[in-house]
Amino acid sequence: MGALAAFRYRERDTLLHRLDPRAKLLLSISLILFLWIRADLEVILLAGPPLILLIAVGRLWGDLRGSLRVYLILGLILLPLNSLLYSIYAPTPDENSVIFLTITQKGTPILGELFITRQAVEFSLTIYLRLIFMLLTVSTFIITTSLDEIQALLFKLHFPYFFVLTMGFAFRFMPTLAEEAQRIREAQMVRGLDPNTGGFLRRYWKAVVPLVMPLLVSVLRRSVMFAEALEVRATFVQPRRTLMVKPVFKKADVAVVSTSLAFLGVSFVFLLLRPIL
Amino acid sequence: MQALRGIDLELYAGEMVGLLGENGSGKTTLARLIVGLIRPAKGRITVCGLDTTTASAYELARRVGLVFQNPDHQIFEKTVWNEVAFGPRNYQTPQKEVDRRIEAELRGFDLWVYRSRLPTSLSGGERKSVAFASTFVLEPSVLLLDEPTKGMDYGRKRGLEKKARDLCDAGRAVVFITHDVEFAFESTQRAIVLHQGKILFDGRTQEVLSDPLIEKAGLRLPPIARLAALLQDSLLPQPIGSVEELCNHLEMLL
Ligand SMILES: Nc1ncnc2c1ncn2[C@@H]1O[C@H](COP(=O)(O)OP(=O)(O)O)[C@@H](O)[C@H]1O
Ligand SMILES: [Mg+2]
Repeated sequence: MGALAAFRYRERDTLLHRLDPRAKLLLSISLILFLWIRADLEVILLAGPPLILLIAVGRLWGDLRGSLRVYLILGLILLPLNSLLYSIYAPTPDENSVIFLTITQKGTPILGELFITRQAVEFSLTIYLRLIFMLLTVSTFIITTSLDEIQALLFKLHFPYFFVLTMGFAFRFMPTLAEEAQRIREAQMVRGLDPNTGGFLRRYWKAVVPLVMPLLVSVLRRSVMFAEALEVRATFVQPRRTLMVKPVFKKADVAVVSTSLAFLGVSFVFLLLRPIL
Repeated sequence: MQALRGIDLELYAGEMVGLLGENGSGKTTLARLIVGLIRPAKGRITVCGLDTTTASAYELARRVGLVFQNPDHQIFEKTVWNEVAFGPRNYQTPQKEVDRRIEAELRGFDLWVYRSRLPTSLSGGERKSVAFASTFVLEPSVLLLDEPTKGMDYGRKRGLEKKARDLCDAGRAVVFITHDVEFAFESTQRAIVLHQGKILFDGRTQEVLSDPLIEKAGLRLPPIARLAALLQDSLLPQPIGSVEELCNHLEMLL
């Protein structure tokens, strides 16, 4: 569960947190585009230092630790598997291949050989790093940008008012949903439903199934109540509303925007040089 | 953070207890500990010989029931009948027996006419009653009722008291968790006063709730006790248990 901390806003006072959300969004997008444009290990690795810098400036290590552990486990599974699969494209092993399984009959190989080529290892490493770097980029944006800022950002980008507010409410009610589930669980436990007995499947069944309908009912009831609360406060009557957070461009933002644009420029040059997706 | 400290408490069969204390004094936390929803950081709690840290919810719920402070946190089924049936169904009680017990509880709490209604469409006091019925139907040996009188009209309060008395006579223990001092004064025999997570008083209700010191724990003496305390110096023996008793004393004096 610690992994989720990488995708949740954490209030903190750092340069990264104070940046204008528009500048941060541009920075994230430029990084992701840069990562997306070329699948070369050297190019992907170039994105490492800026990312580390961002993480250091935003003091994000603590929030990212849980997710990094998950990525590591993912890597331990994905890297060997992908290397093996990509190697299939190479018909025969070359001098850079590692052969680790040969089935022979009286000295002659049969059924071919299981091998991994150097290119396959490199390619899966590239794909893996690209994925992780993209996730880290998304994390740096989400951890450092509050819901209010994201809403202000979307307003500035001329997203429809209704959409932005609704999205904000959805996010706001996520913890409420978890609380509600916990409450129903407790109400069921004090009346004898025990999710901790039985085999794995039975436990899962008992933990999830009795929760679904009550949760749905309670969510519907809550949303009706919430809608009424919004209505009596005339929420959607005017097409605009006062923003809680007014994004203002500062010097740091200008610097970030210039860097982002530079990154985009470099990506574009790379794209012209040798376009590979 | 510590919500409760140094709690040493025994509940006996057939007891009707008032657990009192101001907001945040730890009453609800103590109840959640006793039913095993949370575990004590230190110490031990046993219910009918079962240790709450090791016993399963299944075993515990049959012996100790908790009615939540807020009925909306407790009610989750689509009809009043299903809500009350949830507990017995977990214990594979035969259908006939389940039906009989549910009907008895629903009638006992004046809910029979609402049996196929959506629980959330009922009034506050009625929802509270649904929560009572759905807990009482399991017939646990210990019943903890968190703020049971909140939002209940006089009739329902008296009904609840009568029901609780019957259960106590049948050898069960009932704990009223409340800051409704008047109700506790009139309905319980033993009173436990919590203050900042510690037990401040534990004794006979009439004595505890006549002691001006409970005002330290944020509780107000019930009016009769206040009146008795004011008259005591010159006129009365302590303590006074009810309006009738006070009247008798006054009549004798006049
Ligand atoms: N699981 C818990 N662990 C520690 N403290 C808690 C826990 N649950 C509640 N508390 C705190 O304990 C105090 C007592 O709360 P509660 O038992 O609800 O009081 P009461 O029911 O007497 O009004 C509160 O300050 C509350 O924040
Ligand atoms: Mg409470």
